[in-house]
Parts: sequence; structure tokens; C-alpha cells
Amino acid sequence: MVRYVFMRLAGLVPVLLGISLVTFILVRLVPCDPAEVYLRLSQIPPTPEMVASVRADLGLDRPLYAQYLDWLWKAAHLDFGVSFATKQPVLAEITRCFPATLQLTLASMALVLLVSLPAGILAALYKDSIFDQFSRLLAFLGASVPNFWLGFLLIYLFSLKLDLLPVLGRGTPAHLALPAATLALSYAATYTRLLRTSMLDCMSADFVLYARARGLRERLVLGRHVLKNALLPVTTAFGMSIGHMLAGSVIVENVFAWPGVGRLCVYSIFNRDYPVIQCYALIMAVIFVTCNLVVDMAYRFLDPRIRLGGGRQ
Amino acid sequence: MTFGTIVTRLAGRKLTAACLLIILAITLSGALAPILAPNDPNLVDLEKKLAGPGAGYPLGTDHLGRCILSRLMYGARISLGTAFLVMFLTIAISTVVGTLSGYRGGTLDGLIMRICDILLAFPSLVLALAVIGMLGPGLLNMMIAMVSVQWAWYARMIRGMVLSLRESGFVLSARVSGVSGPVIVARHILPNILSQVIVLSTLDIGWVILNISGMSFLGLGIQPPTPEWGAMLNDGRQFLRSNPSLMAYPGLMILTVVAAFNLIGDALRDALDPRET
Repeated sequence: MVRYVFMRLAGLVPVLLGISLVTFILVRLVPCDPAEVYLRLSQIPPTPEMVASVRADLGLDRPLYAQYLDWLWKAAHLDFGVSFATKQPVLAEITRCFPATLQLTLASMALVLLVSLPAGILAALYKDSIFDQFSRLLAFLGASVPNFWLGFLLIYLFSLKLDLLPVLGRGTPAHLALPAATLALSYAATYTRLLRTSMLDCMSADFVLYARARGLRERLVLGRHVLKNALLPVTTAFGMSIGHMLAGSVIVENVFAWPGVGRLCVYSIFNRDYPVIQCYALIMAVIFVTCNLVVDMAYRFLDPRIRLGGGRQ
Repeated sequence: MTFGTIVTRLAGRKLTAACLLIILAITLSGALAPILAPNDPNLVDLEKKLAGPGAGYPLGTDHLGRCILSRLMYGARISLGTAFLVMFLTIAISTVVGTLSGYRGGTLDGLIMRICDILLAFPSLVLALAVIGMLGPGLLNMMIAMVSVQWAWYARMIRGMVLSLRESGFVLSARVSGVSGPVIVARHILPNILSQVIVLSTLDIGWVILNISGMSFLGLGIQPPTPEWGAMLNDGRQFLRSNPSLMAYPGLMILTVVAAFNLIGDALRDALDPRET
């Protein structure tokens, strides 16, 4: 197991280097001179002398490989440069907004679990019932409804018509309810269906038939044999969607004026604040890759079939 | 499985046939918008702003007095047109890259697959945002972002298909007969994979439409005053309290089209894989 973890961590290095290379190259796609943008954002007229001076300050006059190595060295020391707009360190800007995004994502994940676990189990136990049909409809809608529209529908209903929840901003748990629900719906719908399918697969498996033949109580069969096995693929899919949720919060944050990194990213795109966009992409990709790796390793740990199979190799 | 068999299977299902009809109707209304639309979608008439449904304006007008129905019809043209174009470009690029990678193999294959691995290591929305962030908001840049996010996934899939066909009997016999590589690819490999790739790409059209409207909603994609559903939703957000229909119509259009494409996608998956019921 230790050897496996080590190998996987070692395998992460080229991927991280690749990610860093892509994010570095991204800034080279910029159709105008970043030094000029920097000067304009600082309200300084971009004279050729000033542009040359800023280019030297930002290291843009050096060869590309030297720029990359320099950037990589600094990034490894968590120095992502300075925001063009606020002149603050980029990492400080991101870490200022990240707790809000994390809070939104964690709340959504909790909501997804609260809804999809009981709903998926019930949909499998009462297959083809009205409840099952309803969960199918919800899953279908969840995959098709644009979440920015859903957000506004929820604001209209719960904030404007019923006056139950605040419309925008962050602060109290009540502020969190609508954005978290908006972000959670499509995932909750997907996992309900996934758990249902996974449970139905397990319920028709031989080991369940054997457990029943041994005369075990139905509750024990479902809890110990069906659910435990059915949860495995759901756990993996759920873990892998953490990165997607963190990244996907960008639209929800903009609908609800939620002060997270997604909103910061869109704001930076309008301001052409390239270092912030670059750092956002890098951090999100690193989180995404790390989450996937952890889930992959956790799956190996949770499922003895894979663990033992791997051990023999 | 041939394209004809797949279409016959699909048309046999009532729900799928209904979805196909909905998409056809919306596509036609977009394509024929200059003839069918009751008004100019960009004609501002402030005296008629926020008017309810009535003569001349079947769905009423928006905050600038523009006809909502006409904007929805022209919006279909842009939303669907952009989605189809993005899908076409994605498939074109990934077919070339995937086939090259799978057929040539060796170092080139390794290099292309590592590039794909790295691009797939980014959450797709983040990479799209980063590309738009660097190139700047706009329709063309949004399309570039969408294609650059998607091509790697398709290239990898096509490479897999080409790899399995490369060692099949008919390709080996062609090679033994002295047929050149490019001809084998064009005559024997591509015809065998393209129908499947095109069919699979329909699964993603709904996703592409959602992303295009999402980007335009954020102001990063199609820019006002161009009528596009996501941008219309963004325009309507300030009138949520006084005039919720401004947001309701474009949202319903996106929901309907994406739902129809998703249902067709599900049916296609079943049609391609007869084991699943």
C-alpha cells in the first residue's frame, strides 16, 4: 500500500509540471502586451519607455524558458506575483476569497448527501414506484436545467415571493441556503440515480442471494451487503465531483453575488488581471488532480477486492 | 452499426421522436428567423418597454422595448448554431489528432496523449474560463475556449477506436496489399469510426449549449445586443421582481433544448448498446 501511494504521488509530479506549463503558456495567448495592460490598470500612460521598464520588472524581456523556470520556482514557493488591479499578492487575493467558495462547496456536498442517500435507497427499494419515477424526473431536470436560471427561480420564489431567505451576499446560514441548493441540485439528482442503479445491481448479485438463502434478516442483507457495496462507486464519483463543484461554483457565485474565487475570476477576466486568472486556473487544477488522486487511493483502501488484487501483482 | 440503423431505432421511440421534432422546430425557427420573426430583434422602442403580450409582440417586449419572441428566435439561431459549430470543430480537430496518434503510434502518439492527459487534468469550466480570460470575452474566443477544452477527450476516444481497428483483418490485408497509410485511414478506418463519433457527440450538445449560455450569462461569451438566450437571461436579471417573464422565456428555451438533446442522447446510448434496456 505504501509503495502504491508513493508511486501515485510520484506520478503526480509530471502532471503538475504539465499543468504549470499550460497555465504559464496561457498568459502567452494574451493578444496584447501584459506590460501595457499593467500600466493602463495603474492609470499610467503606456509610453514606450514605461512599457520597456515594466517588461523588465515583470521579467517579460527574458527568454521564454527562463521566464517559465523563474515563474515555476516562485510558484513552488507560493509566490504568484501581484494582482494588476489591486497590487496585492495574488495568493492573498485568492486565499481571501477561497473560504467563501469552500463553504459553498461543503454546504452543497452536505446537501447532496442528505438528499441523494435516502432518495437513492428509496428509489431502489421501491423500484418503478411513483417515488422512483419522481426521482427519475428530478435527475433528468437536474441534468438539463441551467443552474443560473435555477438560481433566479429560487430567488424569485423564496426571496421575492415568500420572503423567507435573503437574496444576495454572504453572512448567515440563511444566505447560504439558496446558493448551496442551486449548486447541489444537479449533483443530488445524478447521485440519486447512480446509487439507485448501483443498489439494484447489488440486489441481484449472487452474494445477496446467498445472504438471503442463509436466512439473514432483510434489513441486515440491505445494510451490510447491498448498501455497503452499492456505496463504493457512488463514493468514487462523489469524490471526483468535489473538484468540479469547486470550479462549477463560478456561475452560482455570480448569480448570488457570493464573494468566492469564481466571482474573483470573472471580475479579473473583465479587468484583464492575468496573474489572478493564471493562479486561479493553477490552484483549481491542482485541487482537482489531488482530489482525484485521494479518491482513487481511498477507493483502493475501501474496496478489498482491488486492494488484494493490487497486492498480489 | 450503421447510421441508418441507429436513426431507425431512435425514430421508433415516441419520446425520442418528440424530442427530435422539438429540436427540428426550434432549429427551423432559428434558421428561418428573418422570415418568421414578427419584429427586428434589435429594434429599440423605449415607448413600448416591458409591455405584456399583445398584438405585434406575442410574448411582449423587454426593457428596451425589443420583441422577446423575435429575440428568442434569433437566439435559437445563435445558441444552436454556435453549439453545432463548436461540436463540428471539436470533432474535426480531434479526428485529425486522434487518427494521427492512433495510426502512427510511437513518440508522436506518446506526446499527443500526454498533452491530452494534462488538458484533462483541468476541470473543463476552469480551463474554458482561463482561455477566455487570456483572449478576452467574445463569441470567437468563447468558441476557441470550448473547443480547446473538449478536443482532448474526443482525440483520446478516437485514438482508442483507431488503435483497435489498426490491427483488424481488413486493415492488415489492405496494408499487405501495399495500400498507403493515408489511403487506409481515409478509406478503411475513418468510415468505420465517424458515424459512431458523430452519434456520441450528440450526447454532448446539451452540455455545450449549457456552457455557451452560461458563459454569455456571465458576460464572457456572446455580447449584447446580440440576441442569445444566456445573454437575454443576464439582461433580464435586474427585472426579476417587476418582470420575471424576461428571465422565464430564455430559461425555458435553454431547458427545453438541453432536455431534448439529453433525452436523445440517452436513447442513442441505448440504441448503440442493445444490452442496456
